[in-house]
Amino acid sequence: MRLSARNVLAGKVVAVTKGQTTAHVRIELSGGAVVTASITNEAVDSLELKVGDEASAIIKASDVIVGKA
Amino acid sequence: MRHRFPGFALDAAFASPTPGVTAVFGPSGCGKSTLLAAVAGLLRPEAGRVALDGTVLLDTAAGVDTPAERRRCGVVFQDSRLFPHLSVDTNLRYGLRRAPRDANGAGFEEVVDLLGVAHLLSRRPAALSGGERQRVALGRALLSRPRLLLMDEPLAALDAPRRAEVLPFLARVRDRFRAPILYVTHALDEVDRLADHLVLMEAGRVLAAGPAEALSTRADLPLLAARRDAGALLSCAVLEHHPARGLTHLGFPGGELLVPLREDAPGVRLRVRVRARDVSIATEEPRGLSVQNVLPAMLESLSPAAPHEAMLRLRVGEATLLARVTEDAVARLALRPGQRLWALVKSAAFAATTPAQEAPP
Repeated sequence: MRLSARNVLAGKVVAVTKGQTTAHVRIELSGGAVVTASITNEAVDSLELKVGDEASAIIKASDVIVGKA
Repeated sequence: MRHRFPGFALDAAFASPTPGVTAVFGPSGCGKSTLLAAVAGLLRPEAGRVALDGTVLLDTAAGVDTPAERRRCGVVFQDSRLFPHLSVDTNLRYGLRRAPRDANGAGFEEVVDLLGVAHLLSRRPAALSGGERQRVALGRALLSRPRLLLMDEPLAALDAPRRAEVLPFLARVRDRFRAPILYVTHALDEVDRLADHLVLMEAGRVLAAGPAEALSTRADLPLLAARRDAGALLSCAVLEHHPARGLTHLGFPGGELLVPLREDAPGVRLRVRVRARDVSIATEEPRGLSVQNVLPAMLESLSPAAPHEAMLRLRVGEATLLARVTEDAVARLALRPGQRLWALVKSAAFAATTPAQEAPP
């Protein structure tokens, strides 16, 4: 897909937690790092997201905050 | 208007529609409070002309300088400037005493009711919270039955919860009274919530003036476009709620937005800020994304933003959106003006930018 977002991190869904309107989806990347996405409950339903699915976390470069170790 | 202080020169001119709220926006020291003081008659500028609906209040060239007390401007300052030894009731009635006998305007009960201060009438200002003090100051200004309301950063001294408490009252005053409002602020969320017209000031000069929504999509005004919360203001109407989906449908000219569920009645008008940093671009119709808002768009123009970033102006229906993307994305997608695209905005991004629910009357 041709998207402007620079970072497409492929992984596996390890948790889907629905809230009142927003859900938190945890995606584990191949190296073991976990990225959490805050998306609407409806997006979870329309993508039929569930634990074990292959999914990507897509992040605009300007949204990444860098902390030096 | 022209005025000089040591190390500072004001040289500003603008016209505002009446009635309506004109926000004078700019960083500290840009001259916006000086301008307001000159309109109120509290400062005499070296040269200037102020006219309100055809009535000239000041014209230094023609020797006109109406004294402050006869300009009929209601002024609200950052610090409420209530009389500390008088009750809220007496402070409010002081405003009423200043109103000309033949002036039409709000009555005491109406103002007390509108500002929700009935239970405070017997208190002294020292026994009020900061937000309550500002509501009383606003009431006192209204009761003087002004032809023009002047507000000099009325929320700047309040903490975030108090600001959120007072803001809906300002919106109610705007909606209830016909008096035009000149509103000085350096807080963009107050502009979003209140202003029809915007005057952008920097270093004593007017950078741009015009309808707030039109200025929000100007990529050439760094005072707005370089901000982290830069983005298009969209005038929307609540179309429909989908409680089961946790979403509300908003309509804007030529398009729709899905935002997290709201409580406003269908038909209520909301102004929504679509932050440029929350907008991504796709050059083919995307599939399998969690993003709820996929808006067909036409790329109008690209301009350099921060280092290695570009600001895109996008036509979506009759509206304009801004998108901030990396120059790398511009190159990878070969973006060029005239191109058909999809603008992607996730619904969850609106949780932070949609205006708070109006307080019940």
